[in-house]
Amino acid sequence: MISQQAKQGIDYIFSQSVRKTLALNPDDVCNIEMLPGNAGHISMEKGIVVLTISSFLFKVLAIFHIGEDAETRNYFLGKSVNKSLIEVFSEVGNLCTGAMNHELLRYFPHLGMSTPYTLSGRCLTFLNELNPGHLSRHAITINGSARLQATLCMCGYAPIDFAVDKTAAERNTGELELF
Amino acid sequence: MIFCYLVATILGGALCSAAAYLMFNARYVKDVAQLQTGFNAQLGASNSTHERLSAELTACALAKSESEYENSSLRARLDESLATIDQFNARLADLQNEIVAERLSSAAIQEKLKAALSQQMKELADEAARLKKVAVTFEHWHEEMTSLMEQNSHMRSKNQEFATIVKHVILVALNASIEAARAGESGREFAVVADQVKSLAGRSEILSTEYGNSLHKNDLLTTVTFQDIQASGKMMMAALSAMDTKISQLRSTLH
Repeated sequence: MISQQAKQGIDYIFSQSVRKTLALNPDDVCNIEMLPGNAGHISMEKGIVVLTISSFLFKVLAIFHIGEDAETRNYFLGKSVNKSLIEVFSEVGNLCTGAMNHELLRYFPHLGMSTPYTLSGRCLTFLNELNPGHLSRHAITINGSARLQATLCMCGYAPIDFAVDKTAAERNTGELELF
Repeated sequence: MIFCYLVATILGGALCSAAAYLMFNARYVKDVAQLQTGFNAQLGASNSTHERLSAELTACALAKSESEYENSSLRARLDESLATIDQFNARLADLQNEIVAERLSSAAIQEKLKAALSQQMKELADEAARLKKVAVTFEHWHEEMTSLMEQNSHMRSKNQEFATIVKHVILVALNASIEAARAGESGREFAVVADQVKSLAGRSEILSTEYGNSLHKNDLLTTVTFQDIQASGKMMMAALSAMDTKISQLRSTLH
């Protein structure tokens, strides 16, 4: 249902969005790499932030797994005491999915995005219940120390095929849409 | 003498007259001959001229006749052309009248169409504004979803409590089995009961785990379903807003 080209396209758009939005400072280095399907999760006990982009043809879940190690906490929370890590991740995830939604609008004119929601990491075990047409996992590292994982889960209702214009996607780096 | 003189004078006069007459006559004949020759020459020339003129006159007459024929033919054609022009002018006048009438009618039709379109645009804009109120429905769903998730959380907490109790029962059953074994023959029946309790606690633990998993699965499915509804709602709202903008643009173009 979802062509190989479309799968690669959605992963590429997600990677670009992560690079655009997850690094808090312009000089920070954000690396993202695909994980094999059987790779372990950061922690099943920690929370996950879920956001959904919907269209007539598909829905895409962007799931951010929260690592609670000291480096990650320091990077995202800094000296802030007013917010929890899960709140910061909800904001960051919202920005990242917003950028992804913005880019996908080039190919699908009618799209909508949900608000973020926090669930237990144990819910990840049941992603296959959604009958995804494409499932990919990503390891994200910022400045080599802050680490998190993300899962993309795409469910199609019709044949989906599109080719990403990588030049346009890269040109738009830095353009953020706030939701 | 006088008589002789007279006679001589008369004779002399007669002679002179005769001589003069002869001289005059000769001169006259000569002049007449000369005049005759001249006249003849002039007559010949005149005849020649006359012939030439006659020929030219004939040619002119022929030309005139041809010209008259041509003239009458041209006049006939001119008359035809004038008649055609008159017809054309009449048709042109008719057409001008028709165009004026048509223009008036077309303007009236345009006005009617414009009014009808404006009305439809207004209805469409009203409908779009009504549809936008669907956002309130999404807000209700959001509240219901939050309440559902809270309920799930409560059930998870209760299940956790249940799981703790089950673990405790398992420990108690294990202890009971140990105590029954220590009691020997007298504790045999107690050991059977302890095994039953242990077995029941084991089954309860499995059920509790399965129930916990079901709650996590339920959390995921509920969240994804709600988020899909919420995102689709936003998609529809965006489409409605875009439609609203188009309608406004169309309305301003119409006016």
